[in-house]
Amino acid sequence: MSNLVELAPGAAVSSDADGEVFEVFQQDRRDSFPHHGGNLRAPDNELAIHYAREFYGRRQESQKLWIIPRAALWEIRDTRQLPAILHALARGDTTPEEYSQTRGTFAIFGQKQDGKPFVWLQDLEQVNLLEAAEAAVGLAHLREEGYLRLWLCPRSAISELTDPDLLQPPFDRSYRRLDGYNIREKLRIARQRVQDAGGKLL
Amino acid sequence: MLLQENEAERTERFFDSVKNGGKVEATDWMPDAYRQSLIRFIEMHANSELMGVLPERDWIMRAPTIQRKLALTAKIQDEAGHAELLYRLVEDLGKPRSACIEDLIAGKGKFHNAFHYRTKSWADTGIIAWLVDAAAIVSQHALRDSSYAPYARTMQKICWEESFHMMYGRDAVITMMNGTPRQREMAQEALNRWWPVLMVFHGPNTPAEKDRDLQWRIKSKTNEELRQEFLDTQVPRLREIGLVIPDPELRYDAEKGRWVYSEPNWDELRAVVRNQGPATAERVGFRRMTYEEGQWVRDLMLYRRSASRSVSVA
Repeated sequence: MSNLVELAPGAAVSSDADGEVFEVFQQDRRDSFPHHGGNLRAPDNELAIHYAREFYGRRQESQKLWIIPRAALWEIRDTRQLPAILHALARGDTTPEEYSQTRGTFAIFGQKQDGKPFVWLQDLEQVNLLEAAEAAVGLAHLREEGYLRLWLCPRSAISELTDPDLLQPPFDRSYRRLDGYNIREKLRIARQRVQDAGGKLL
Repeated sequence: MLLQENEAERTERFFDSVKNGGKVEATDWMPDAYRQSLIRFIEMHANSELMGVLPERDWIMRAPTIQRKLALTAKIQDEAGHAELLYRLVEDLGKPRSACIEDLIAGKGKFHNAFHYRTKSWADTGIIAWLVDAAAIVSQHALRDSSYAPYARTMQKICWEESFHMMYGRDAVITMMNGTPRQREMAQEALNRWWPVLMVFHGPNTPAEKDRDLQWRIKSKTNEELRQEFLDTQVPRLREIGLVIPDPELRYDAEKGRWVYSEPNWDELRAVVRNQGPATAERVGFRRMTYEEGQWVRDLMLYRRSASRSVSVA
């Protein structure tokens, strides 16, 4: 296991001169749990929350958004590598000091099926990163179907947006939704006109 | 030598996997050729979303009702948002967004043929929202099966948002067709101008075995399959409201199970995608101007970022 950035240099950059990358999870009223929606880049956490609301909530499609700096996410792809990875973690090679030493709550996300988005699985309380990683892998093994990949992050790194005034404002936004257009009656009139014109179209 | 063989075997295994439906994530190893093809393909898609707002932008202030103005503005906001999501994918593959934009404003970046043309009347916005978006949706639906999983997932979101654009455009055109003779003429005239553009939208009829993007399942349908799918759905919809498709050769050949049409003007398409379209210079110039005018905003954001870092270090 390693930080998402270090896992694949060049393939998943977490920040550059122009900003930081944030992963966004979203949940609407039909979802049981938050699922990964995508990511965005922002100069800081505050603007990341605004951008997340624009990209993942402007159609009132999310009741909850989680915005997580990519640098605070760790990915476990191959649980067979865990002993070596845990060893590296224990030496502090790849782990920011605060996460390896400090106990806290960690969120675990899992990808069950190839190509499908990650889904939040559970929070682990009073653990450090090392213990969280072991528990996450244990959890992954506990499930019969297993998980292809896991993501871990300290709960404190997650910015949560649930403000209904921002995500579910009481405005008519039907003009930006498919179900906001009912063309049935207009279509009936148009077809009738074409029929009445006997093929003369204009 | 051994390393080279291992690399070759690894590459072969990779392509076997994607040909058989395997999915690739951003953090997975991938051959450089596959990465470069993804960058080229997705960057053009992102550029098209970004440039695609310009023909419609001209009509926001001239929208006939407040409801149409809201919808057109929302559509434009969507397209700009799609560009942002797609540039993020390109960034994760290794090409920074700023490099994509700099290529675009230097006239080196490619974007879809439809956005190199001018709009002339309000009816154009309806025809674009309905038919250009319908043509795009056919391609984008097929991309939900892309071997590159982050692209496929982004397409799920984009397709869901695009479906409103198509319905809004169809609603606007049907409204015009139910209006005055002059409005009907305007809709027909717009269709006459846009039809040739739509017929080349999906590209030439390249055989599947010569299309590398298809071989690697970056996309999952041939250009001709996409065009036929577009015609299957949209030709009856246009005809039922009284619009005449400006191609006397267009007919459905039941025996062959496909639409037959006049040979499109591929020379014009080749010129347009080389950035020699009727409105290319003006559109690229406008994008360059807004990029330069927006520099102070980007500088301010970066200043804000470096200032907040200084504070946290202190």
